[in-house]
Amino acid sequence: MELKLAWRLFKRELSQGQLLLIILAITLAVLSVTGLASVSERLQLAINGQASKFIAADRIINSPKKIDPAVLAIADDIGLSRVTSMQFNSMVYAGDEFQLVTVRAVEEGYPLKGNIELSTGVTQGLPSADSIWFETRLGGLLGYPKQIEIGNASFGLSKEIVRLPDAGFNPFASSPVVLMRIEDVDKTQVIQPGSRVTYLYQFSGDSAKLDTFEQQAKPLLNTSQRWVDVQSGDSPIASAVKRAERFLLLASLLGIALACAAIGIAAQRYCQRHYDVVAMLKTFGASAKQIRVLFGTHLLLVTAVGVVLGLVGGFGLDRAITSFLPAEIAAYSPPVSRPILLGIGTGFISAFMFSAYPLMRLLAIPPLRVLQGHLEGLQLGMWLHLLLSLTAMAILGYLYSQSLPLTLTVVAAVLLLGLLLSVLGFFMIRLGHSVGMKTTNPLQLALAGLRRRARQNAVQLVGFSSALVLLLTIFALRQDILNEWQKQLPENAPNYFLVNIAPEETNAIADFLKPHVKVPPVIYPVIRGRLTAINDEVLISSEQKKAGEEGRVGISRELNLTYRDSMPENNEIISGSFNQDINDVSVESGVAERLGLALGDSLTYTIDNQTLTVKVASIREVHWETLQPNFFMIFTKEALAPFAYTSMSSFHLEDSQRSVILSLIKQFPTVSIIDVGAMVMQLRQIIEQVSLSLTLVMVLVLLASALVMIAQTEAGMASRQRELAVLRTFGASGWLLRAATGLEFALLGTIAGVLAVIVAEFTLYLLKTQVFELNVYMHWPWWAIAPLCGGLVVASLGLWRCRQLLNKSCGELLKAH
Amino acid sequence: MDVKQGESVAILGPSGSGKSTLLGLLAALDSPSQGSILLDGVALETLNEESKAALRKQKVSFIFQSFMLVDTLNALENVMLPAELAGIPNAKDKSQAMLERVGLSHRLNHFPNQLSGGEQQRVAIARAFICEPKVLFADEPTGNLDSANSDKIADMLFELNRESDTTLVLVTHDMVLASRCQRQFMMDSGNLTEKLSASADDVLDETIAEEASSWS
Repeated sequence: MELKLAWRLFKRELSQGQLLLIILAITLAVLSVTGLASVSERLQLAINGQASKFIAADRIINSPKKIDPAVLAIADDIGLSRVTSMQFNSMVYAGDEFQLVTVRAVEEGYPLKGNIELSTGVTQGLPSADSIWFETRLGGLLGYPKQIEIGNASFGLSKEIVRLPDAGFNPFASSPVVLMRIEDVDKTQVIQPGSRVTYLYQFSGDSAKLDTFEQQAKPLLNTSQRWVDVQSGDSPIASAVKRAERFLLLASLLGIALACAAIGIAAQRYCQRHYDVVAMLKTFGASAKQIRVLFGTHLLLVTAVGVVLGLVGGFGLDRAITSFLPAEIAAYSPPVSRPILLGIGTGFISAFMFSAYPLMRLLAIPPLRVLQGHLEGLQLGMWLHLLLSLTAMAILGYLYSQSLPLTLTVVAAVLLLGLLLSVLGFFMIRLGHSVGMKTTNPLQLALAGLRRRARQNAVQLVGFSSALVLLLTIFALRQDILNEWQKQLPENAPNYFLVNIAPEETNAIADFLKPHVKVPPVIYPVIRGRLTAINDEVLISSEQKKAGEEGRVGISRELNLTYRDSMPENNEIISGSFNQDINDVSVESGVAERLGLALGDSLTYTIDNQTLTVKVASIREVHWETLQPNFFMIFTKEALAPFAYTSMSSFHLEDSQRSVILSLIKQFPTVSIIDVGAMVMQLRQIIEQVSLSLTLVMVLVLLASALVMIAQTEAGMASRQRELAVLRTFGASGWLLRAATGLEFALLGTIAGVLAVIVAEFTLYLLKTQVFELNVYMHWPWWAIAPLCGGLVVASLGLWRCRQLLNKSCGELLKAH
Repeated sequence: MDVKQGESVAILGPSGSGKSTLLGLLAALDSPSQGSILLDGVALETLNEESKAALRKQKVSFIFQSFMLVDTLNALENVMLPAELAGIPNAKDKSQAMLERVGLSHRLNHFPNQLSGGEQQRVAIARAFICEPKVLFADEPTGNLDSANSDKIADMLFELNRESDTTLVLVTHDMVLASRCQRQFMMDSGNLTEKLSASADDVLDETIAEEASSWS
């Protein structure tokens, strides 16, 4: 019977438009979650897809030995494509000339992602048997022979490689690369037991398959094998992609919070409207259970409608946005199950958690209300409501982002907003007692209105200010992320690296480049050395450690050391001060952390069979993603003066100046030139796509906030109408009422603006320090702009919403009341 | 105060004298802080909220000054409401018949805001009698109506009351309406006294005098 009654009530209220606000709020929540989730998943797929070209695959397993065939069998079972390749260093001989090269031996099918670029253009094929493709500079070093020898086999030198997709970026890898077929490796007989080889197992496939593979295969790997994906930090775009993903998550998360606020407000109104009905039902003897079932079902129906509409709208939104995206991105189609589940979850969790408190109050309405109009039952503390709301938000946030710092940041922001609002509410009510209602001056009328509607105003402020917080936060973060990327890849980012510059050539090279480049390139000396002891404690390798030896673990390979008088650009001192004494060294923060170094530690190096002991004087942060020569250790010139060195440099050259490179090769044949222009281009493309997506998300958020603001002005309309009727009856002019209403909303908007700036600065501080690793600074112009815009926007919205009321005659107003 | 089955009783008194509080107590909507109320032999002060609700469902019904119709439900659905809560079969047919008795068979599908005040109160009367209550409590049933409609509603109320042998407890300012009840009680600052064999005119005089004094 209650179910029938619930259905009837639902049907009637729906057709009379009474459920519009709450359904709209739920729809908005579901729509933004579903829409943003599916757009951001599509974007993530696209970004990862682009990024995967950098590693020529979606996933790689790196191993010093052949891996367990069981792992490959898993990949085959799942249906992933895979290729195997080997990488090792070897000497190549051509007559009397010889050169150390890096050999990439690949299988048919390589590369799974991206393309090999030859001097003749992009190719799909691989070298034929018994021939190799070679990096241009090898030709120069060996004098372009017809045949070369690697180990016991002889190969034809066929085509010039401009770039391998997964060449990576390492200007120190000074040996040129040759590409051959993996079947030819055996003939060379260079791979003996104990040889240093890296086996690269590259995989590609759709994301679901890759996830399954990761789950099944990753546990089978041993410690010497490495799992690589596009975000492993190996590729220079990893941090860009990660930030973009987090940004998208955050935007949706804030979207959820906003929609939750809308649902909270709508739920309160929904319950208030049913107070009399509940009192009446109780008077006629309805049991508590009957009323619980009745309204539980009713709310369930309301939520279901909201969720269905939201899902439909969400997919519409996804379609609409996708149609604006470039075709390469739109072509990726993510699975729809996650957005759907998230949407449904959001709808039901938020509707029930946010309605719980108002609903409890509704169910506790005493029947006596039928006789004594304004009785409300239970007065549970607002803290319960806040607790429930925060729990709902935290659950949803975590479900959605699966990131604790992000979720906690949003919760903290909500808490701060709540705190500010309650302080404000307290003052508004306190100050309210002094002044009466003066009907001559619109400002005083507006102030009186603000105080009288203190409670509704608090509710409206929640909506207005959370919408503004959201806007400000998203806007600032987007700008910061874009700026950061721009800094990493400025217009004149170096696209050429020079390595192996002999000491006597450095001046000549600098003179040669001077007329062609805008910024004179910085030339870094490079000295190779090995770190052997920290604080006189002799270091051991991680292999030795594994074998059971006691001792401190060092870095087992040789390091590239440099000296400088001043800090390099793009580096930041975290602690200490940059090389003051001869024996000072500046250490990169990552290495310092790995080795457990602190300021004042002494480091002993072996360079050219001599030892050098220096003291850690500063720890530096290095932005590895900038395409500059970066160093772990920077010494003073005096300390490294006794050792032999070569130099390296990087510079930017316009595409039109390619001929400069040719004459550079001719003039300095022993200097190696590495062209990273193609990589820079690719990087830039990815960043452009990501930037576009960030902008789209911002537009979405803008729309959502506008919707919430519009919904907000709905609150308090009834009491406003009563008041307007009274004022009209006592002869207030239309102008006065309009000005007072406008001012009241403007004041509300201004207060919301101030609150929003405070909360947004706080949120940004948390986000930048805990999640995004960006520089924190205050946005002073906001402190003026946000209140101003808040006032203007809210006043226009308010006047627009009230325009009908304001135009009504007092007879009409009284009648409607 | 002792009211017998089938009796009609009016409670009169100035605003704020405690009429509504008394009504709330008698109708098991509120709980007395002391003293005892027996409704059809059941001591109300011993009941908890749930049992009071059950008691109201079985034995009691109401008519209010402000009608208290659910404005999103139409006339028929409003009348059906208590019957459905009580699980009475054929609620729809019965409600239809009831609305016919109050002369609204042509207004079944109208919503409260499409009905006049008199019509709304007739719907409320139909709703009050649908469960055949033992006691009907009416709080100023004609308070919001003009005199023509008031008379009509009063006629209807007393007629249905007689036919169904319902006990009627009526709170009102309206002397004429009160005089149609078998007994009249006066409430003054929380004190209840019965007007014995009072005529409508007596009550009227007294109230006028009282109101005159309170105005001065």
